[in-house]
Amino acid sequence: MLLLIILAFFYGCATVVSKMINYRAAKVLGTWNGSLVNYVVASILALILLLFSPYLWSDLQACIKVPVYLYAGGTFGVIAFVLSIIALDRMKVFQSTILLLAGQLLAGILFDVIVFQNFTWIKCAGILLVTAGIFWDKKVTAS
Amino acid sequence: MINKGDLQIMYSFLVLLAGILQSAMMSFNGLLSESVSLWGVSLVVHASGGLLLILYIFVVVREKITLRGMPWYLYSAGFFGVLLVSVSSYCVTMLGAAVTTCLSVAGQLFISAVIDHYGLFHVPKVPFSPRRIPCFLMIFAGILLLNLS
Repeated sequence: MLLLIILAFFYGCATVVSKMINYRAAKVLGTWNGSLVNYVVASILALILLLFSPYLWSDLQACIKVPVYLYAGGTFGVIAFVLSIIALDRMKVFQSTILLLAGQLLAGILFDVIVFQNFTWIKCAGILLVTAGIFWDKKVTAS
Repeated sequence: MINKGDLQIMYSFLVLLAGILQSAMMSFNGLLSESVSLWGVSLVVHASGGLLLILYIFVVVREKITLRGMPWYLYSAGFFGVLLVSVSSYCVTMLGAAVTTCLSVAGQLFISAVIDHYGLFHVPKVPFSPRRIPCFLMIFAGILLLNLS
């Protein structure tokens, strides 16, 4: 459990480094092409990794069987990206950060309850405490 | 005529929706990773997202598509793309969507504070304010609780 928690924490750290690289890329190529680079290079890299992995055949078989809606993840990601480009420049950073987090947590809790069915009250208390800490920190740094 | 307050509410709604979609993306990728390998998930997500983005750039933005002319190390964005999708898909199936989001944001705050404090990646130096310590302690307490659950 602890290892997984550390992994998720490092995932957040890597997100920031990735955002900084994407930001630089956007400075050179513009917002849209700068982001497209990420998708194109990642697709090629994932394809190469898949071709040289033992999962190629089982993935090909599985990808026909899974329900089509599970493929919507990429589409959701792009829509979220476009929406944030439209809205973020026109809002205060504090507000937009909190709203983005609220949306993520709201949907996250709903998914946990309905789909993953792994919701517990201790977990809920932990989430509340972390969220309150994040909110507080944003307030301190914004002032 | 739309007034300024209405516009702000609309933008707020769009940002909230973006958050919901980001979370939905993580959960769907996690569900997909129960049948398909993490590399497979990463390929599907980036290929479908990339095609959609190309369409958007062509139809709405009407910009010429160029991917060349950057210093080589900026292309590592794609490496991070694969890494992030794989790790988040794995964490979501093991920890759930809400906990993964929480921990990830805590990680983002932590590393941002380190980067700002030392001025890494050529960002302007912003020394760590002791006023943030109680906030970080609160986050840490929450993470301990999550570890118990």
